Amino acid sequence: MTNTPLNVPAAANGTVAVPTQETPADTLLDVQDLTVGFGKVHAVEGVNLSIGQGKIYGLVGESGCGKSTLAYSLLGLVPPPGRVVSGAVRFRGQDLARMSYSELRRLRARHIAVVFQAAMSGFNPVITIGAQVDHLLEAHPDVYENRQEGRKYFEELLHLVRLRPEQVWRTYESRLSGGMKQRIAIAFALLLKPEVLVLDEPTTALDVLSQRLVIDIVRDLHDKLGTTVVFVTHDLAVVAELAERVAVMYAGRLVEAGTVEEIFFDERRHPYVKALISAMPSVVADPASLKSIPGQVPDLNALPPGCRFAPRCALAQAVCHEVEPELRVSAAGHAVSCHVVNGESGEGGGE
Amino acid sequence: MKFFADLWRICKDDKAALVGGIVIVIYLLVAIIGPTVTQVGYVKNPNLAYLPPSLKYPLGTDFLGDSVLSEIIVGTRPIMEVGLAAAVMVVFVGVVVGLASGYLGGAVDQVVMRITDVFLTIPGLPLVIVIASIIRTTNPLALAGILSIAGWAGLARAVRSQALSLRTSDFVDAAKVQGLPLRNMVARQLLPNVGPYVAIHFLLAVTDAIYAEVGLYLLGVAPISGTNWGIMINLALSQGALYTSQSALYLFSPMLAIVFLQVALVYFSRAMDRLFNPRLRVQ
Amino acid sequence: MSLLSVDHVSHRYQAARDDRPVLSDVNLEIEPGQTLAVVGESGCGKTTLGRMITGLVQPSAGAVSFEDTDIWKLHGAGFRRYRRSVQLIHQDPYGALNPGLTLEEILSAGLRHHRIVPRREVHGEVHRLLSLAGLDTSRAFLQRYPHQLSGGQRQRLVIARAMALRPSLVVADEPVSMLDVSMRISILDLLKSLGESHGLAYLFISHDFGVVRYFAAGGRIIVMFFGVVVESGPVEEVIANPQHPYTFLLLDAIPEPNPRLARRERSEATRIAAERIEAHPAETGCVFANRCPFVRDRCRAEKPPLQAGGADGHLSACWYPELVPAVTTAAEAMAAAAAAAESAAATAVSQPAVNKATADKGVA
Repeated sequence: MTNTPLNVPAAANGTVAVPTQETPADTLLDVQDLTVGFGKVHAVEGVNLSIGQGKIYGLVGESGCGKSTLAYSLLGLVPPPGRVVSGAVRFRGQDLARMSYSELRRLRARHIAVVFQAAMSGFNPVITIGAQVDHLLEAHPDVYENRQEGRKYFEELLHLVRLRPEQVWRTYESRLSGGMKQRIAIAFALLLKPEVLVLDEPTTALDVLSQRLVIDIVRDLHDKLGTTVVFVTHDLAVVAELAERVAVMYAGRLVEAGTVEEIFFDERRHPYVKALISAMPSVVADPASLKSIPGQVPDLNALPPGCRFAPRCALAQAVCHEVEPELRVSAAGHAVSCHVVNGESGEGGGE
Repeated sequence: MKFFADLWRICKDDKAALVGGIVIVIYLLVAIIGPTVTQVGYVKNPNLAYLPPSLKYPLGTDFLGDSVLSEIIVGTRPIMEVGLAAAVMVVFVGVVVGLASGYLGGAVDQVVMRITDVFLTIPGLPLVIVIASIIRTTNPLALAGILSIAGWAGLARAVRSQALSLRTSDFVDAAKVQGLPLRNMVARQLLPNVGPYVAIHFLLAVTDAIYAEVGLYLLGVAPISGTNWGIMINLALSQGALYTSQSALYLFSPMLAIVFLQVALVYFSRAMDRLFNPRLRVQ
Repeated sequence: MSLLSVDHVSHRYQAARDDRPVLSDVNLEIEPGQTLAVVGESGCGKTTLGRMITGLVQPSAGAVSFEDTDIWKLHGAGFRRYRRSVQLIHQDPYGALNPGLTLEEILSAGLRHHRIVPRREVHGEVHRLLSLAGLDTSRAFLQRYPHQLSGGQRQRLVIARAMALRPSLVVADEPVSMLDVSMRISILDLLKSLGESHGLAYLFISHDFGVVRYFAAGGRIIVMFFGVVVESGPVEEVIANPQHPYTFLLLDAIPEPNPRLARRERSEATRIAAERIEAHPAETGCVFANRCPFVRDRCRAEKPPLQAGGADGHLSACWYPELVPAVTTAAEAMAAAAAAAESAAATAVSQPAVNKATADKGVA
């Protein structure tokens, strides 16, 4: 059985719709048919995804696509009133929904760390950063031999995020700029040596030079520490720079998953992905070749019948407006959810 | 009309607000048509004093033989008149002062705030009592004016802080860039955004005014003329209603009338936030 | 006579903890129908500049003039004319519309006050504005409140409102940065077509060079750093041939939307500048001195004026513009790196691939 890059297991004969129950050895997180709802609205619908050891994953999509909800589900952190409607998230085979509170707590601190978008406000304003490091080490005494080792490791992490310990150790958070706080938050997240680091919109709302810094830092972290990184973004350029594997979401559905090379260059791609790439103004793109995507992202309360992208899709056929497409995986592991691309339109379009 | 349609829809969702609304409407109707339906003050027959409840006198009689129920009905109008008038004055002054002060800022704001502070620090009810006992008036508007002296300052302060935060909004900038005049800024840009708060405060101001008003009558500070709930309690106490159980109804009926109205007002105010906030009102 | 000019404008906040000015001696001119882009990172003063031009903030020094008259000296009819002529589009479509008013009320407020059209035509004019902005013109739509619209629709409404007073200059402060990527082009296209059909001048504020290139091609650009204009000139010229280190760094650091080219090594200069990213702007000499990878002694001693650097009115405030590397396209950089890697194949220690142009310039 071929192991696809995004670990959506494929059948020997080519494409399959839904992955099997067995998960390969190096899968850390396995999302199976996950649906997360807020009231009647499903922010995430029927998503299948696996996160494997040591890779950098990009979760990309526009507003309301469910990428942040999906990322938080990886930690079992769906904010109420949201709840998991169906499906499961498993870490190393263990279902997050079945874990006790203390097991979840341990999971979040020691195995999967997250840096939120508002990292700026994650610090305690009345104690120094150094004191907060000590608190964290105290709370998890089994990670390091002693406090000294923990502190030393934190200093190494600070170097990795391009900060000098003296800038940070005895400082209060009010003296730090937003960019510095974000980098310190990353160092904190890595202090307990988690296997997975989740970054929610790490470059959004940052200036270009700070973005470049964060991109370089995440690359360094991945290279030097071997941490698996899952980052959420709406910016395809950041995905191109950082990600090895990409999952694209639209209106709660996973519409495409594959390597970054496939997402940008493969012939067999979801029309939304192609259109999105052609809609990005950039310094290198030829302005005449750029085109906006007509219409707007559907309201999750009033989803169109059939494929959620169909109302805006130039390739839409009759079946697209009636039946929702399923994710089909190629032998190489590139998954696309589109009738036309997968040759299911019945009218000769697509491949 | 859309206003009432929305109000009906909101009340249907929130049963408490619906009950409150209905009770308020009943009281208003009683206030308006009550005195034409029944009269008091003509009997003056001590032999009919403190009769137990019966079909003729559903709540019994007072110490002069008048039906307690009739007195409650007749006594509704003066109470509600003054209560509503006082609330209108409180809201008007509080909102105008608060918006102007918050939006204009600078010296105007400083002066106005110091005046507001004075009114906030002086205890409300004693102030009102003192003023009422000096200006002995039965004119409902004058009485409402006195009652509103204590209430406007708190609202002014709250509205001012809302105005301060709204002042830096992008849409206020846009209105300035369009050259819209001050009256538009305050009336069209700021006012709709403090609507829910003001509406709720209005209803609560009515409850405050009624308490204060009844208190004035109870203490005898406001002149005893005519009939209203406060006067009823005053007379009941002075006529020894505390010491006999036959007069219990005479003493408690006005109190219950007040309590029911207050509770109805509070319940109904729950609908105000939804009604005046477009984000909650429209689906 | 230029439509709008900014002369020697400086500004400080009165209550600022540090005395660093928000704007320092900024000069610019906008001719009718012209587009001027302002680019810089947060804190560079571009938003304050926009607010000054729309008359929301009065500069502590210098003058903002509309048709040669200082706007703070305008009264009565002259002031009303200025107010009609210069309009503002905000960055945040969610805050720019009064949540307590219907769309109709929002659009008609300015129309009524300035009597742009007679009373009975207001309704028709509102319809015209909506269709101009590509929005639904039905009665039901007009009675909606802003919270019922999507982000893209709101921004279109903001644009419609800006057009209501028939302005000659529109200040657009990051008009698409809070919108989804898929609709940015359509909003930019709308602004461009309105500009062409109505002869509008634009002051286009952005931190995104890609958006600027799409929108302001053929126009001019100024690059700001902490309140100082460090470079100005034609848009394409500045992007292709920056004459100030800061402009170069901004361009070099942009994420590349192409995975094959994105992994290239950025220039050594960018790496050094990234390390100095927290450095405060310098008090004396060139404001960029503490962050500049090419800094020399003269830079710390004397403040460089804006002087001619390239063709066509291309100015830059740098003593050593010749040190600024050319912005190689990613493809060229990859080719250079591949060539360098081949020639260094035999050595044990692998050298990082360096931008060839930088290697010649002597990075400080």
